[in-house]
Amino acid sequence: MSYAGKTVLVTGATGFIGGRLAERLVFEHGAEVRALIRDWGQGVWLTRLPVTLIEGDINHRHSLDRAMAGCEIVFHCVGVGGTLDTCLETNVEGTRKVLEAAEAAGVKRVVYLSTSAVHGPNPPENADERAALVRTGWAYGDTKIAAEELIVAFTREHSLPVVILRPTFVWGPRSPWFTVDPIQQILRDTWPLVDHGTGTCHAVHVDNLVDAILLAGQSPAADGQAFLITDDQPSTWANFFLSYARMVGKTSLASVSSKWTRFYPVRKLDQLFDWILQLLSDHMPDVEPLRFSFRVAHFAVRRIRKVAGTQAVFSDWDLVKYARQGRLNTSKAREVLGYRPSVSISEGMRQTEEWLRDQRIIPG
Amino acid sequence: MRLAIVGCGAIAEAIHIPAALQVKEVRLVGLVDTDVSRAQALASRYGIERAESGLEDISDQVDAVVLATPPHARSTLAQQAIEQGLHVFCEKPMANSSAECQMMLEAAHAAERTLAVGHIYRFFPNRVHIWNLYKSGQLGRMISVDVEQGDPFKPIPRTLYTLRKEMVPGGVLFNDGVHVLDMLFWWFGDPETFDYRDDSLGGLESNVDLTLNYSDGGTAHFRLSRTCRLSNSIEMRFERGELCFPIYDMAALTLELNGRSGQLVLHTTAWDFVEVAASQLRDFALAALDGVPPRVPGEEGLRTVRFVESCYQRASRRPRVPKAPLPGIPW
Repeated sequence: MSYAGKTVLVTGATGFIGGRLAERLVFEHGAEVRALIRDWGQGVWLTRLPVTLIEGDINHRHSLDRAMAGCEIVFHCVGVGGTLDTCLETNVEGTRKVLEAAEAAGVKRVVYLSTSAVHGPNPPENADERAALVRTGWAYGDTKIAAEELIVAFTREHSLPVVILRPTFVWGPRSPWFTVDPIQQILRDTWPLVDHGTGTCHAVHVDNLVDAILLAGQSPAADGQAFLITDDQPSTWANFFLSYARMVGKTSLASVSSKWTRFYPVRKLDQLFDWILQLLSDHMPDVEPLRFSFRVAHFAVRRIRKVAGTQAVFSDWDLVKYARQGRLNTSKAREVLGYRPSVSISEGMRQTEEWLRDQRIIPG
Repeated sequence: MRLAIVGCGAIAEAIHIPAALQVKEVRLVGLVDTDVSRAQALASRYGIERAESGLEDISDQVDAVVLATPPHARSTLAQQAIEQGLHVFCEKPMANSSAECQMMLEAAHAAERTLAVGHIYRFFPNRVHIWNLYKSGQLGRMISVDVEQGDPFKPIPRTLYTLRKEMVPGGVLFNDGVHVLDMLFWWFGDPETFDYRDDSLGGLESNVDLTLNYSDGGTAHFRLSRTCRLSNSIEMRFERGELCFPIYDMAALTLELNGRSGQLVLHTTAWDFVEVAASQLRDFALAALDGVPPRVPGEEGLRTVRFVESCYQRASRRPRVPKAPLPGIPW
């Protein structure tokens, strides 16, 4: 099956992964791509493409119905972090609306972009897709599990084929969490290694992930299944982040212990701030001037949190993730999808550096 | 001169209406917008007599119009206004194509009406000062110009047309780059050759890299982006001096001439966009009243739009690569 001339919808196309998927669907495969656009400020990468833009988002069934009319495949790449309410609304309820709209529109396949985080920060050695789904209290990870469970339940009752992909840490040009943020923090000397970077790095370059997404959209054998996706070139986090450091002329990074007792109080303070912010959001009164007072307090706590610099401190989850040693087993993606990562880490780093310099994220 | 402003979007509200209220040679009598409630709201706020939904509703009450609509509407509106005997001041870019610009010019010439274009950099004091220095020969030959202009795109609801391929022929060069292009044409004339790259994959470019090569050996390099923050500065080297200034500053200028360097701040009063826009509108009004050419006549608007088209034609001939290029323009 080819994508040429086929009408497909990419949700999250203004974002990092959905945006690269849209680029490759249009440029390399000649697909007719539709995209929902909610935030036009994020649209300037997407508008470089001849895609059909439909104002709306996945939380509005009406815009989904418009976007999916006549679509053959839906690539559901939307995923948000933040508070539990935000994550529930978009990651779970939004996914429910996507599935219902796809079923109603007669879409032939949905590819859902989940995350390897559903297995927790420390999956067992050589874990594959059958490893347990681990709820940790982290809103993003827990709601991605809830979305996967929703998909399984939905597909039991409906004929809609859905493929689930669980990428690890997605990096490359435009990656906010595993490229731009680390680079910016390395520039500010606020990005340490964990345990000297000896943990195993199972990252996935965005173009390798997009290869897997494109294969999933074309593989009937993949229907109803989940796939772990990584670069399949396990390295160490030291190798990974020192590659970024070298781009900005640094040869070493500080290291913190995964136990990180020195900053334990700071991390606890960070959690306290999060708790206060959540409390203020959840109990925002409807009446003035109480509402105004709560908003001022919310703003003040956010400022204090920022000024205290605690955002640079790794969360408990991150410390476990970066300290983990062990492989992930992606043989299923190779066997069923025919997935073969084509971008090596060194080639990916070369491309990424070029992009970072072009966009002045690191000095030209 | 009785004036109406057609198009009540962000630029009209922020610049054209307050500017028109400052210019004693014009009397702002009406606002026109297809969303008449928007025109009424602004008219009420600024004490303007008329608010209409179409140019035809007010054309017999005014002598001139400012076209502050999106560019795809300008050619038709300009020709309509000129046919009804009105002078036209047109925001930049003058129109969506050189063919449309040409029709506007022909209509203006035939009706002997003034057609001016809002390339406002020609009214910035620091740019006028440089022009005078250069024209007088004090700077000598231009050796190189380096322009960087870029900020992440900030959406304003009524200007989202700049992201819609069905409404505009191009992206950041067409919508944001034309001011710098006009400035370079004003100072140095047409380039002999140019090299152009952008990051469009069939849509609207968000990053541009342009080099203009002049017959006397000078070059101008222009990097433009709406995805990332650039230095937003202009640096120029001449035979006898160097100068630089922030792109959005209309008064500051750092100058080194004949080995002496210093910083100038031109004019002691604070200059802002409204004040400069008022100078621009006054120039237009006086040109229309006296029958003399405005500082930026329609021909200059045509020149810029025509050059932008040449850039897009150049990009369309770029050899196709098999793999989707990286975002940005490292390719």
